[in-house]
Amino acid sequence: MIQAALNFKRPGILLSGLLVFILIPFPVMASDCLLIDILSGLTLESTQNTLPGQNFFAETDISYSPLIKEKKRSDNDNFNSFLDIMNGGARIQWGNEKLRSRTSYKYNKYEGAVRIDSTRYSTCSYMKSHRLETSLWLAARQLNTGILLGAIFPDDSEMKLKTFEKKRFSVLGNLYSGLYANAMLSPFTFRVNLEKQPLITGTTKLIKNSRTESYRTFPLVLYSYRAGTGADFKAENIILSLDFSADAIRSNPENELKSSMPVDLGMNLYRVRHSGTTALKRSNLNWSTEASLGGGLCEGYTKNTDGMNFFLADSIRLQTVNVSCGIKDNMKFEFKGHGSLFSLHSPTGFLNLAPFSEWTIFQPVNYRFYNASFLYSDIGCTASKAFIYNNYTFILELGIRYFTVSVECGIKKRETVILFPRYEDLGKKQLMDVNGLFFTPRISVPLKIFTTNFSLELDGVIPILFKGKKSKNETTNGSEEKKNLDTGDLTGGIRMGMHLDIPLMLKH
Amino acid sequence: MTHISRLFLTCIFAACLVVFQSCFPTKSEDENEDEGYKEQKDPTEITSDPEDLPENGDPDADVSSNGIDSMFSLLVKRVETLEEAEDHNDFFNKDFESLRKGFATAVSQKPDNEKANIGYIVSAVCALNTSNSLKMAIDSMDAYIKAVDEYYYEDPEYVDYYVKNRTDILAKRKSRNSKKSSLAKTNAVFSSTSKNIFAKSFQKFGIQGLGRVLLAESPKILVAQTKKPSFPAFITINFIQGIVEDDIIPRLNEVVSACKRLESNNVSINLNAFDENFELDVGDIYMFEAGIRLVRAALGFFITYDMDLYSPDGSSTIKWIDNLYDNYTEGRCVYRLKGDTLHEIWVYDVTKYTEPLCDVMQYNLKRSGFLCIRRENHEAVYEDLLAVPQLVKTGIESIKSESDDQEDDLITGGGIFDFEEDMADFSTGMIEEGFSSDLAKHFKSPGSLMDFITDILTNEYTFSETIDGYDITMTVNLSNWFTNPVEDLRTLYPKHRLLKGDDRYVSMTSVRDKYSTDDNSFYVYENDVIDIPESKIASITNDEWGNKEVILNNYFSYCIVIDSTVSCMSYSLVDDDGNDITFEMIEEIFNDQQALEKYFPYFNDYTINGLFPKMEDRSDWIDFCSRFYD
Repeated sequence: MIQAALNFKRPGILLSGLLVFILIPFPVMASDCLLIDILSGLTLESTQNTLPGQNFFAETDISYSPLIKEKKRSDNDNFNSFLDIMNGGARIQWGNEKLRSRTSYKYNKYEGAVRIDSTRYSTCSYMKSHRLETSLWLAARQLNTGILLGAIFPDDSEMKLKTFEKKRFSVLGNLYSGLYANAMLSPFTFRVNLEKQPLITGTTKLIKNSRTESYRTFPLVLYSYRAGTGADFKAENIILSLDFSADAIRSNPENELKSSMPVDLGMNLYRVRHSGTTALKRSNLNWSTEASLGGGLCEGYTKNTDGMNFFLADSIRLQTVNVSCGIKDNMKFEFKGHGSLFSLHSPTGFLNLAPFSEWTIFQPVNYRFYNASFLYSDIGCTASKAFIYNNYTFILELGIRYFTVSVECGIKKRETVILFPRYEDLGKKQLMDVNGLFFTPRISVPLKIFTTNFSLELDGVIPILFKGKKSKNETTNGSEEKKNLDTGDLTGGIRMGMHLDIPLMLKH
Repeated sequence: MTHISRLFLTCIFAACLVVFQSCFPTKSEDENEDEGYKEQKDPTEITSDPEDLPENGDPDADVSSNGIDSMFSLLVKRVETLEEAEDHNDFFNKDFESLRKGFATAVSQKPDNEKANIGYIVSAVCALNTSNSLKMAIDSMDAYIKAVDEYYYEDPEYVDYYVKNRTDILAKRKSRNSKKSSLAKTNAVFSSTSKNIFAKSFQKFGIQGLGRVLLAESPKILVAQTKKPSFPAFITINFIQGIVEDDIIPRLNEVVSACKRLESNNVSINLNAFDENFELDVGDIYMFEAGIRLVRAALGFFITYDMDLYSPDGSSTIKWIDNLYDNYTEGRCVYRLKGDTLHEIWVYDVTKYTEPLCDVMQYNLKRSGFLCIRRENHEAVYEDLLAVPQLVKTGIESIKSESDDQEDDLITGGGIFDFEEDMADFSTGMIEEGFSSDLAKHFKSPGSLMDFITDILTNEYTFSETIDGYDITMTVNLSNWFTNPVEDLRTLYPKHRLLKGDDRYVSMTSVRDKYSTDDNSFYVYENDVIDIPESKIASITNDEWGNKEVILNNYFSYCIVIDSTVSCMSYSLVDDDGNDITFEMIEEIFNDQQALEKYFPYFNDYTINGLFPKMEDRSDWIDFCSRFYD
């Protein structure tokens, strides 16, 4: 895989792939496919910890995004990069002054593949699940308390939890839950929540380019255990909110697949978020900042977690910062500026390729890496304007975002001196150094038929990658050799998505 | 005949030439009286007995458990210091011999002690640095190579030769039509730099400029006047064979014996080296022994035959190498115009260069004992070769059966072999490349490959594959090579006769390239000859570097590049009646199937000592080679 990354010629696809592989644990919406938007799955914004309204309300939505479909390069090309996302769901809420409830069903399908030209292998990831959850709130004058109960069912024929295989399926094994409390002391609202939420039940496959079936499968089941608190402040012309949370993200090793190599991930994450809105003379000013800091480790095993530990990224440090600020005027014009930083760093780890080939008995292939880092940053702005034509409203939006992605690490390779193993330092390698622009045009058309609101949206991402950036490979003697990373041409990457939201208002 | 078939036939002939190096007349006319050769046919002692304990140990060594630990720690430290070695001297200056003796004592008193045996293996391999012969050979070769590099790269004539022959030949001629101006001028700058530098400096800068150039060039001129380096006289193939025989193989024997002891004790031990904790299991030792046995087999084969190339004066030194470079003659080009085709004939006279080689070859071909068995090692070599796949298989099985934590193992095993598919799927790759599934199945896993190797080492194997559309069927029997060894490798070479007098000087002509063009000019250099009537030449102009551009009256449509070489040959192949098969005839084989039947070499034994048992006569080889013609 290291070699694959070194030889990769199409960073656009790789970039998309990184979105798939690195950030698959987080919920993805069709309109949020850029890296930092995927990270928004980690956001502290939540609809779960708010008190449902009193009205009887039902809504449904569905979105499908065939985001990337790479062109065939030859007649024998049977496997190409692609990115498909489909989300759907329905919610019903009802309530009275004392008791309120919200019940929802969600379906998430997330499929992505990265075809690597210069090697014999490709990767493909799947995350498909059904979720059913319901929350019940008891509303008092100043104190509201709620409870959430949900279950997740992976929709993956290959993903069989051990509990399924043993035919003693226990709902408890797939349940998640939450406890919420809101105290309203005007002008403040204080919130507290405790949750166990599923982040992912997905699999990533390694596939030979000459075939379509899986060669190795890496299943991952992640849950987040979260304790959070927050406060809102509402005054005449201003709304402010501040949230804190501590998450313990843990993988569930209770899965087993044919030729599977389970991944174990453990991470603690601490986050803070502040947002606000204030009314100006003819417009509203919105802003938000969010930062997170986390640490943990990621391990890969053969067969099961009692098997050989073939991969370890230890002492991972994750840092994210998102900042945005926007203004929306009364003429339905909106402008927003935003910037993001995502950094992942692992000071040490190893990779033993023995589980991938019996032939390594003749020449064991063991690597250690140090100071591995993944860094993504972007800065951009978005402008949108609503137009009315023939009683139809059209909202046109155009976003532009400059981004940089870099991946580098130091590598040591094991050698055997007669009968003694030693690791030779191969120096620091820059595996990826890409920058470019994303243009994100979008058009949406809100419609109202009788009492039903529809919203049709079409959006896309047009990436432009800048070529010719020099990368540096530092050798063990401290010298730096410069090599020109052939970033190649981007043959995929144009994204098209369509959203269809159908909120239904049922009269109480 | 396609490129692939030419390549295949070339490979066959090249293999014969390389493997057997040379030939011997079926009926030698004047065999040399060999004075230096003494028949030595006793086999080298190649053993693998675990009972063979080291004898030359250190009687004062502390072989208690603590003592062995202490020696082992010291050994690890010394091996770790090899990481900082900058050249071979740093290796030779480390003392591993005292440790080897200490471990030898420990092993002879405690043959089952795992740490002592492992320490003995590592120290025995490292203690090869005590071989004075090996050090002397490496030192001398190192000094010689450095001296040769220094001498020839500083010699202005060599620089001129190097630049002209390497740069000009590649770019000058063929590319002249498309990019002739820039390339030709560039080449001209390089080729004439050193020769014209004094004249041009004088013309442009006067006596001061010439003075500066002389000052700059003087070190090279001085170096050119110094004595050229001589090849170390004592380094002969026999000398190297002696090192292998006296210093290396006995050490490998001891290492193999130690491996056997560790295997019989089913070793499993945790160790630390290079700041790494690791586990050494019996599977690792099996794999290690397989590697050592393979090396020993190769070395055993290397010392089996007398391969020394004596000098024609009868001395066993290789001093004739010293004069090879000096005799190199620069080629020149002759231009002729035939119709609308420009002939570019590269004329080389390499007789001065090849004559000494011919003398050496002829002398040695006639020397009794040359390429004959000097040590009857075939059986021991065969035994080692047969042991290698068995050891690997046993090693794999042992590694597979390990159930403990594999993360610190030297070779990782355990459950990882249970996966159905392998990343390095050679078997599938071979089928995709066009090989048959019958052959590919042997490459499905290391275990199946080892079975296959054992099979072809012990039984006849018929290789029957269609590669690039050619049906290749060939039966080989490798065991014949070892069980019925060839006494004299020269008997396997095609029939031939040694050349004498003027017969030795052979002219060979071949077309290197032919291409269409549309031009009326070409560049000519200092030694080139224009063999074109003046009436067909429009003009000849000199450029600033003294080279000439020839412009013809008419355009030519083709250009043929021909190599014409005069060389000294030591022998000529002959047919059963003693008629010569010349170089041109051999070359014709590659282009014409009829020529294959006529000129295919004649052998005494077409099976090559049973290596190809089904190839019983000449017609079998002709049939086989015929398949490669279109």
